[in-house]
Amino acid sequence: MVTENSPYLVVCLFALIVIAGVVLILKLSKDKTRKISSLRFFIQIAAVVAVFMGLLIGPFNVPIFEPLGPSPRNRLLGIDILGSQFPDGISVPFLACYYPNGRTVTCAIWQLQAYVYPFWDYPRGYQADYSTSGLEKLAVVVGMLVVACVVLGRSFCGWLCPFGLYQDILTRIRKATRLRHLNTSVRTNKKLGQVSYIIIAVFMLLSVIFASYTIFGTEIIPGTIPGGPEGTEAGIVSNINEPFCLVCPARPLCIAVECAVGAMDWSYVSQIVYGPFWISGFYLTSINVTILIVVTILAFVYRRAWCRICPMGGLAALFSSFKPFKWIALTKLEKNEHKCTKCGVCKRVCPTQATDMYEKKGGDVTESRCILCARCVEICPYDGALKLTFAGKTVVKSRNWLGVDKSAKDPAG
Amino acid sequence: MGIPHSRQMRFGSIAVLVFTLSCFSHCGYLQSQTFSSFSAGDRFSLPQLNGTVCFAHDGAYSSAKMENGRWIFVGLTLNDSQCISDLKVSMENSNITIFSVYASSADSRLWVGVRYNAEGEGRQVFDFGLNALTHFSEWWVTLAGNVFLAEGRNWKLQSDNTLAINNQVDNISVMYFNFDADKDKNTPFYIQHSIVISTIAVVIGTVLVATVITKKVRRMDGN
Repeated sequence: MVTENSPYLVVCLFALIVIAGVVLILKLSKDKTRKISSLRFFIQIAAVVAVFMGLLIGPFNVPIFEPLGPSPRNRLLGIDILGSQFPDGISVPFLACYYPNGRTVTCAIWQLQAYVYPFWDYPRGYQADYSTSGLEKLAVVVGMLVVACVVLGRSFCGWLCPFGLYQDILTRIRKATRLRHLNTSVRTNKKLGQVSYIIIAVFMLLSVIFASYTIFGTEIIPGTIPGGPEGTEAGIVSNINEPFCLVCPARPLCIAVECAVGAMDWSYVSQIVYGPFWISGFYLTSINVTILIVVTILAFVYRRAWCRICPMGGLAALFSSFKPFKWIALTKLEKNEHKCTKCGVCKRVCPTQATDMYEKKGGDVTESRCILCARCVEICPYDGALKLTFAGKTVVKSRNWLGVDKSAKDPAG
Repeated sequence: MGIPHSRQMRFGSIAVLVFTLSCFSHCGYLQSQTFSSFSAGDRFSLPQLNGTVCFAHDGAYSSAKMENGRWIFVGLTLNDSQCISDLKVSMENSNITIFSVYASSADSRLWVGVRYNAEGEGRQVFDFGLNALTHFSEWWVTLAGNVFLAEGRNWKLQSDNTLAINNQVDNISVMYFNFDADKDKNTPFYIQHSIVISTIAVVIGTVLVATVITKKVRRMDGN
């Protein structure tokens, strides 16, 4: 018998548990250098539950019917609230993968690609009908991204991203084995940041090339005319659409975890892979898996290795850390130069090797590589030298946890 | 002058016999009976259309009959599924094996569907008993699990709300989701595009608020 849990009950219970957890951590955590990290870890786990809330709501015992679904709780925030104008879910600036069951929000990169190709003007998506054009849907995605990034910046990366949590878990495992992490050179790290923009540009360009017939009336890649020769339309739609998702390391991770907990049937995955060595597929490809393995090894050694080149992080940084968005961004990392002694501990603990909080004199030191994890704030031993602010209000600031003498007096007293 | 009684009896018997035989001659290979269960592979034929349907699993139905060139199953359930549904199917020049039949109105959305294998490039017509007229974009027909067949070419939603699939062999899935795709067609522009209008408004509002807050903060820092 098909059953499901009341979404209102599940969401309320979840909210209560999260609030209770946050309060407990803030009250009970004694180690001042770990309090924010513990809170962040808890919120990351809660975020994963929130992203895949549909797995708790159901429905359950649905007969296996289609390789591609059905997963009605994918529509929790999609068709149920936003309707057929924007049925794929609220766009978020982190890797909340589109493909697993039970998701409540959707990765903005998937939406950016999908609404260019194949759903620019196609009225039917995957288990969704569109009553709006691709351009309109793209405008909504970009609008949601701008709002999210202006308000919270790259803190999505530091506090909510499921793949960020995966990398943080790898870091914790490495620390438990007492292995030291490695650092890239400053120059390399800067170049890696630029790679994220190259990645997003390449894959968006690929989407436009595949959609060339629909947008411009010219077929650049054979077989990309919607409704074209038998099988080709479907082949392109099934195999090569959303090109970044064919290589994204977050997708196989989410799929593997869902299959492991029984929320997705493995046959769904294995039935829809094509070509030698599963070079292409709907749920995962061999390229996904290879990149996941490589990123796992790198993230074990270099903290948050993927975040340094993540195109989603790059997009989030674009809308929060570069002018003119930087000027109006509400979430910032700020430094009081009079309290900073240039001890360098902030630079050492930063997982993405951001350096502006060390190198810049004072004021807003948020940069594109900063994921606003507040680790530097947590570890800085000088009271008020670094602080995370929201709309000008201090959310968290560095504390004198070492009991050091103030070696620099704040002129303001 | 009356016909002798023995002749009346003879004519009457012959008439009844002819009538009875003419009825049976229109029945299919499997007589429509109120069996409650059937086995996988039991064939339900439409000889006049050169088509048969069978099921990949054992199952049961409350009634099954052949009528107007199609098989009508009421209360159909397959033993690997807990779904109970009604299904009307017609197949011409093809033999189909049904793997699963699905009908649900969970989550206030109606889903119906069937997954089957077709042999012989013929035609299948499915009637899921949907009350309201549906839109073609609410139907989803896939071949071999991943090829999305195009409406108008490989399948067609007919005016009587039945779905006809033509000239396809291999595993085929037919699914209908009630997404009310057409319901906004006659609504005003601002309702049809309410999401993007709201998004633009939120973006403008956020930017304005953020600008005001930033200016205020800078003024306070300057003081």
